[in-house]
Amino acid sequence: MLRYVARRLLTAIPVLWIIVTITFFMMRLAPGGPFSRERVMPIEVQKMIEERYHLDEPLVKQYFRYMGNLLRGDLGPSFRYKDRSVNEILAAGLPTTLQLGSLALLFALLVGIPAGCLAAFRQNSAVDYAAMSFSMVGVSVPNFVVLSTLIYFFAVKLKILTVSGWGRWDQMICPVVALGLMYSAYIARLSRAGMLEVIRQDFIRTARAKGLPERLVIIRHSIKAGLLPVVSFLGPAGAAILTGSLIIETISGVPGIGREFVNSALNRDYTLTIGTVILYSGFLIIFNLAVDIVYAFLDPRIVYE
Amino acid sequence: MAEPVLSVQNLVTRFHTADGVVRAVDGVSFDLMPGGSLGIVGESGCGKSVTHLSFLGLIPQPPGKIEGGKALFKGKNLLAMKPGELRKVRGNDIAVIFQDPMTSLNPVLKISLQMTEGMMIHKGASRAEAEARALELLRAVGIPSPEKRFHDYPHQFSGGMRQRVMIAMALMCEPAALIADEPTTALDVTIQAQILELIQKMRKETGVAVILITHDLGVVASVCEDILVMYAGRVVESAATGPLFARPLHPYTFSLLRSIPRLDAERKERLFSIPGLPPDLIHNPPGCNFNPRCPFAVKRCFSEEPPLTEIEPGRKVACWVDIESKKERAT
Repeated sequence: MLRYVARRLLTAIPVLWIIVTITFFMMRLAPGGPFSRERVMPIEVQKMIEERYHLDEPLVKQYFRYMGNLLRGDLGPSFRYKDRSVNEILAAGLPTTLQLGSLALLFALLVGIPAGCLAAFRQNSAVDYAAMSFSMVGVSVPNFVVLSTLIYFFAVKLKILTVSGWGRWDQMICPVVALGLMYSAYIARLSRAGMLEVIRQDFIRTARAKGLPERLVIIRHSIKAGLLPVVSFLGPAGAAILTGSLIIETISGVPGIGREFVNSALNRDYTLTIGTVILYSGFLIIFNLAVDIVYAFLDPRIVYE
Repeated sequence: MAEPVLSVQNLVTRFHTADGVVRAVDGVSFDLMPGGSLGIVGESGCGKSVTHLSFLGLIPQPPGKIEGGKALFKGKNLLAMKPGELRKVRGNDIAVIFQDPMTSLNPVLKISLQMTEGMMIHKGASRAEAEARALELLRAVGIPSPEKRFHDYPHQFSGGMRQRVMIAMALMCEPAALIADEPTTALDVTIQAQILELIQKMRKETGVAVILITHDLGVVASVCEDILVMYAGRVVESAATGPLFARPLHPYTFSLLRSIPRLDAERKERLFSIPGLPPDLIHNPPGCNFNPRCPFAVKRCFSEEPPLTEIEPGRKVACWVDIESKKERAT
């Protein structure tokens, strides 16, 4: 198992390298640059800036310079935020985004799994229909609508929560729920489908024939296998949710890095874009590895060598 | 005569589906004597499995519904029990072995847990007591060095070994009755014989009464003392094994026995098969269910359903016709 993990981590290196290379050249293919403005800059100023950021060098040379810095763990200077390096920007915003993301993920799991299980065990009942309608809404309503509605009712009208900011629980509830709701809806649907699949299996009939109380039939005999689809969903979903959301962070005034994922690309902030891409891919790789490891724990038939 | 350990009387189970009402079990009765062995024979979909799943409370309700009859276990009616009471009978007093040992064991739980959990619930046994009993039974059913295999998962066992584990698991709580629902159907022929022998051995050693459900007449012939032949949700004939094989009284039993391949038959002879298909149980034919396929049918068979009647001591048959004389039986 340890060897398997080590091998998976080693193969992540070439994957990351390919991703960085593709991003590097694709960003350069996009029209415009970090210093393109509507107002034309004096040619001398432009030259000075380009020299400072090595933009005057041939592209291949720039690439090797960037890769060299990257190997030392330096993501380079931001092209947009003067005097700040990409490392600093990510380090400043990441903890907040991670906090928001993990709370949203926790919310999604705590709401989605029980809702899905309940719906499965009371299939075609009022509970089932209620849970599935809720999840249909959760999947289809965009998160900025959810967030605006939550803020309007709980902060503006009822004044229980705060409109924006980050740090106190009354500031955190709205963005966490708005970010997690869609995931909780997906998780509810997946766990319902997974559980329905399992409770039709012969071994559940065996468990009942043994005279086990329903509680044990569910907890011991169904949940492990029934939640496997949720676990596989958590790989990509975990990476997406933990890297935050531009919309949520902007509306709620959360000082995270979610907004940089979009803004850096729009600004042609080459280094910051690659920084966010590396972060996202890193999360994805780690989460998918974690999913595979959890799978092996849940299902003994899966063995890694 | 001793009291039967399990007495099913006139059991009726129906499934209310979108296509109509399926009469899966339509007035089935039988007695299982202590330590006895009863074979229930019939083709797929004739209600053999639904019978036992009904009185054990294991059919999905809805769409299933038990609409009549009694199932007396040691005098108590299982059909009138609350789900909680019935749960205490299942696995404890009446245990079941299912057809496919590949899918009937939970793939993600260790054998040790699956074997011991029932006894810990029903008997309040400690883990150590339950494990000791499980190891003893695993040895009895012929699992070599059970201590080493005890904490393995089902996929680490072969099909035959898994069915041995199922049998050991069923016997954990020393049940009075063991229902084996097609226990050998999913196994290789050579393993089939071993499993049947094992069921016989365990029956003799523990005194458990066995109901063996199968579509294979060869299986019941070697194991069971009494046989119940079912067709389309009804019992058509019941008798002791010897007389039934020697002289079947119902046209269906007669045809079934004719369709067994024989070693002493002429090579050119075609194997007999019963023409037609069983009814779909939603649109049963009027009269006897078997009439469209019956070579002996007379006029009455198409209008009146024959009741299961005791024709000779210990022999019951549901047929209007005496197939030996090919004449309608006098009533």
